[in-house]
Amino acid sequence: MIWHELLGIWLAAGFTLAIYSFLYKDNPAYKLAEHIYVGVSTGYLICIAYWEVIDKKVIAALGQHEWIVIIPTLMGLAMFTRFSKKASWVSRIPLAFIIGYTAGVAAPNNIQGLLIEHSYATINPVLTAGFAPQLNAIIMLLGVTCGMIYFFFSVERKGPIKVAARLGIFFLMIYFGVAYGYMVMGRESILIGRLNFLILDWIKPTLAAIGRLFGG
Amino acid sequence: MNIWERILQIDRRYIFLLIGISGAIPIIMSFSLPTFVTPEVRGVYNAIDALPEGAMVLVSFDYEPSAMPEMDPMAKAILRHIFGRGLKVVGVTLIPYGTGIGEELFVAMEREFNLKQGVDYDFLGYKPGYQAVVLGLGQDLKGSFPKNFYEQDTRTVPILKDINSLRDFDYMMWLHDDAYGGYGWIIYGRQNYGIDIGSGCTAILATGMYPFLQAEQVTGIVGGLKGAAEYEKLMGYTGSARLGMVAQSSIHVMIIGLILLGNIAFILSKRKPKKEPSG
Repeated sequence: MIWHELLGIWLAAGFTLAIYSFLYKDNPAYKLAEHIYVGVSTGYLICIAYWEVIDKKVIAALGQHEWIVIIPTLMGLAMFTRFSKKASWVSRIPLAFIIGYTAGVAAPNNIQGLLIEHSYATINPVLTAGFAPQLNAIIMLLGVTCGMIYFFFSVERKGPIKVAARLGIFFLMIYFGVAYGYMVMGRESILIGRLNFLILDWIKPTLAAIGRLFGG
Repeated sequence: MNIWERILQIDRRYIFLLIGISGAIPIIMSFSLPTFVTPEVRGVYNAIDALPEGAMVLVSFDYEPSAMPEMDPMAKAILRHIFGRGLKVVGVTLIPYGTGIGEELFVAMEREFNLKQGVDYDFLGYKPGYQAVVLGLGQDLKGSFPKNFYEQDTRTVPILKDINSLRDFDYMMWLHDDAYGGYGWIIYGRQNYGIDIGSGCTAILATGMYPFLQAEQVTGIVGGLKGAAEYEKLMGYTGSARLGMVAQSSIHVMIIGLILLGNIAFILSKRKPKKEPSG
């Protein structure tokens, strides 16, 4: 193993343990690791933003006399006027452009991609699929309808509306349970990733190296 | 204070320790458990498997380093499948962190499959703007990315010779830990440029992807470490995802055990007869 890889592994192991030491109690090692993490992340983002955006998409374009990039560059720079109380109004111009552009582009695409296609996919299987998928589709349609009724607050909750809203809560709870289960799995995966690293990339090779050193 | 009351007041650090130990033991012992493949994962696998040799696949590395333990085994399994079938890959990312992740994966694949950058794969790098990037790639790929990640002019890169738009790709693999741009690749990419998409996402995001599968907006979902383990099974090897799933199962058993113990202790501690007030 090359020395800089070895150094990287030891540093990563040290920082991992420093971060996990917070589980015992807050301590200077955790604080140090946390601050270094924040600093490195920010530095990395700034470097990527410079080399991938400013250098490649602005400086290189200007070098090829593509003067049009001056407009978005100025609009981007105008965002920094928010730091000044007097000039902060300038930042509203690019913000207005972003909001206008995003709303204009997003509205038709989202209506088609989320509302229409998902509504179709909810209703259509009820009409076309076989018995078992049809049963699934009916339960799903019921869940969607009752869930929507639960979030409809303009009608007093009594009679069938109350029953549907209660059923809506039932479906929502199932969704929250599933989502929470997946979230726990995700968090466990991060822990497992670190344990994998500590055991397989750090402890085992280190023990093997010590064994070799002492003639094992 | 009886034993049940003591259990209820246990220092939570013992629980952290138990979770850590239950995760570490399977890694140290390296034993295995069976993996079952779900239709969601098979949907992605079959879509890639059906592509002809030399087909172009776009891979978007839209996940941060915090998601690497979940996403890297999945990305490796999918890239192994893609390159193993002789398909060509163009990588891109909608987030700054994706550059380092994408490059590292391409370097690993280059060594494993003896690939050549610019011929077998290329990495466009990062550009800010989420949906604007997707739309830009759909309209004019080389105009949107004049230079690739390796500072090469995209007009001169051999693999990109016939690629001018998202329409020119045969498939897209979206590896993501968030919706980025309001599911930008699906809402703007698939919808406007007709590209078939497979989703490889973190477990947290998987539930949110099912409506897209139901609507056939994605061909399948590889969700979290579990999905990655299933993909490894389909690929016929045991990688870090399948090993990780054993640790995950072990942690699940520990959590279930602790929940049961906590509930039993709660019920039994309530049964203790209350003392009569003196006087």
